Amino acid sequence: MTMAVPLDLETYLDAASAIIDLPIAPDYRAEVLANLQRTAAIAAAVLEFPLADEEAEAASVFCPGETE
Amino acid sequence: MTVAPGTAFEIATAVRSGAASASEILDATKARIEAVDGVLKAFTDLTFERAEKKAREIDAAVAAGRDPGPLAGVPFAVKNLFDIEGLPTRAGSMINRDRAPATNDAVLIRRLSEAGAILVGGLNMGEYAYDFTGENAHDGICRNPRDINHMSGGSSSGSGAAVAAGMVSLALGSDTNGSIRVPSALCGIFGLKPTYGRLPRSGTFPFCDSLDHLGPLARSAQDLALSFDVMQGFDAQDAACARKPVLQTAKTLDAGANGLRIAIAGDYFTRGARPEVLDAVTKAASALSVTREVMIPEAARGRAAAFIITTSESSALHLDRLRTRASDFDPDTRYRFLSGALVPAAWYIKAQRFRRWYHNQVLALFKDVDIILAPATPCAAPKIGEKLLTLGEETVPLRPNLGLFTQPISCIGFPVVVAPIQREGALPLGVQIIAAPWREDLALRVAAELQRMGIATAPVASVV
Repeated sequence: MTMAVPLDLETYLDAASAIIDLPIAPDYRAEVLANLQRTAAIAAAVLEFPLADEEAEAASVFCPGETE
Repeated sequence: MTVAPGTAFEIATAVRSGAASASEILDATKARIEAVDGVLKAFTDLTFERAEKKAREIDAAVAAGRDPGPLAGVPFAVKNLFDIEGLPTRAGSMINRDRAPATNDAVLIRRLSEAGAILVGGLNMGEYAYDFTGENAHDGICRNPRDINHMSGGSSSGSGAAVAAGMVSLALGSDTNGSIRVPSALCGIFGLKPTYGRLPRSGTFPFCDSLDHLGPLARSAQDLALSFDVMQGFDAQDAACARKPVLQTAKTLDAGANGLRIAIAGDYFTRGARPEVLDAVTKAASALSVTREVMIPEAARGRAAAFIITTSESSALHLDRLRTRASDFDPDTRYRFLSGALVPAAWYIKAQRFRRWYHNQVLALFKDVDIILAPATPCAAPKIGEKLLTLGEETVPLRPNLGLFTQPISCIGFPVVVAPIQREGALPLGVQIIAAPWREDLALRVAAELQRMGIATAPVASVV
C-alpha cells in the first residue's frame, strides 16, 4: 500500500504555504491544519487504490482547436 | 386569470393563449417576492426594470399574433454566479462585488430569454459555491420555505428557496458536488443536474471546472424538461461543452417508466442515512414496482476523488484572492480554500485518474439498467446553525456529509433528477433518479411518472 500522506502535516503546511507564497494568518492556522489533515485522510483512500500504467488518463477535458 | 405562482408550463400556456398577460404574471411575481423574501433571503438582486420591459415585449408579441416562445412570460431567477448584464457577478462572495458589471447575460439566461422567459433577479448562494447549507456570511442565511428555522441547503440555496416558496416557477443553479440536488431535496422541489458537458457554462463564475454543471430547479418534472430543452446546444466558450444534438425531453415525458430497467443503489447508498431517507427511496421504488438492487462500486472512493479535485481546483482558482484578501472570505469557506491550495499535485492527478476508472465501472452497470434510484441527502433539512449530524450511533460533521450521496455521482458526470417526497408533519426528502450519460430523458420520464402517481410532489410552500 502506498502511504503518500506526509506524517508531519504541520511542517508541510508551513513549507508549502511559503513555497506558493500563501501566508496563513495565525488566526486561521489551526482550522487550516485540521482541514489539511482531513484532506490527507480522504486522499489516502484514493492514493492507496491501485491503477495500472495503462489507466493513466486523467478525466479532465481538453479539446484543441476551439475557442469560440 | 391568476396563474402565479403556477408552474412554468401553466404560466406559458396562459400567456401564449392570451388568458393571462406576461405583465400580470410579473406583477404577481413581484408581489410574492415582496411578501416572503424579507424572511427567506433567497434573492440578492432584483431585475424588475428589465423584467417589465421583457413582459411588455411578450405581451406585444401575443397581441400581434407572433410566437412569444415556449416559455412565454415565465418569470425565472438565477444563482448569482450567472452573469447578469449590468451587475457584478458576486458568486456569493464579498470580494467579487468589486468586479466590473457583466457586459452580457450568461448563455443560459440568453437562451431562456429567447424562449420567452423573464429574468427577475439573482439568487443567494454559498460563497463561491463551496457549501451545502445555504448559510452565507455576506448575504445572510437563505431559509427553507417549508420551515424557516431549517436550512435551505446549498450551494444553490436561493434557487431552491425561490422555487419552493412560489416566488418563481423556475430557477437556475449549479451543481459541482450536489449543489442543485441538495437544495432540491431539502426544499422539496424537482432539480436536474444534467450530464457533465451538456449545458454550456459560458458566462458563469466557476467553482471547479472539472466538476461544474448547470441546471434547472422547478416544481414539476415537465418544467425541468421544458427549460432543459431550450437551454441545450453547443457553445465553444465552454471548453467542456459537448457537441451533442438537442435531446427533446419534454416530448417523451408521457412514456413514463414504461420499459425501463430500474434498480435501487445498494451498499454505500443504504449506509449513513436516517431511516426515513431510505423509506423515501423505498416509497418511490415500490410505486415503480422496483425490487432489484445494484451496487455502485467504489462510491466512497468516488466521493473522495471528487473532494480532492474540488478542493484543489477551486483553491488554485482563488489563490490570488487568498493571498491578498483572505479576511474577506466567508469564515466557513476560507479555511477550506486555504487548505486546498496546499494539496500536492500527485493527490490531484491520482484523483483524476481514479475518476476515469470509476466512471468506466459505473458506465458498465448501465448495460443492464436504465435508471438507478438513490437517496439525495442523508437527512431532511437540518436546523440552521447545526454543525453535526447524528446518524444512529455515529455523529459526523454536517456540512460535508450533506453531499454523501450526491458527490459520488457528479464525480463522473452522470445525469440526475431529484424527485421530492413530501411527508406529513415532517420536512421533505429527495430521491436521486440517475441515468447513463446523455440520457436525461429517461431520468425525467421516471420523475414525471412519480409525479403523475402523486409520489413526488412539489406544492408551493406557505412559508411559515
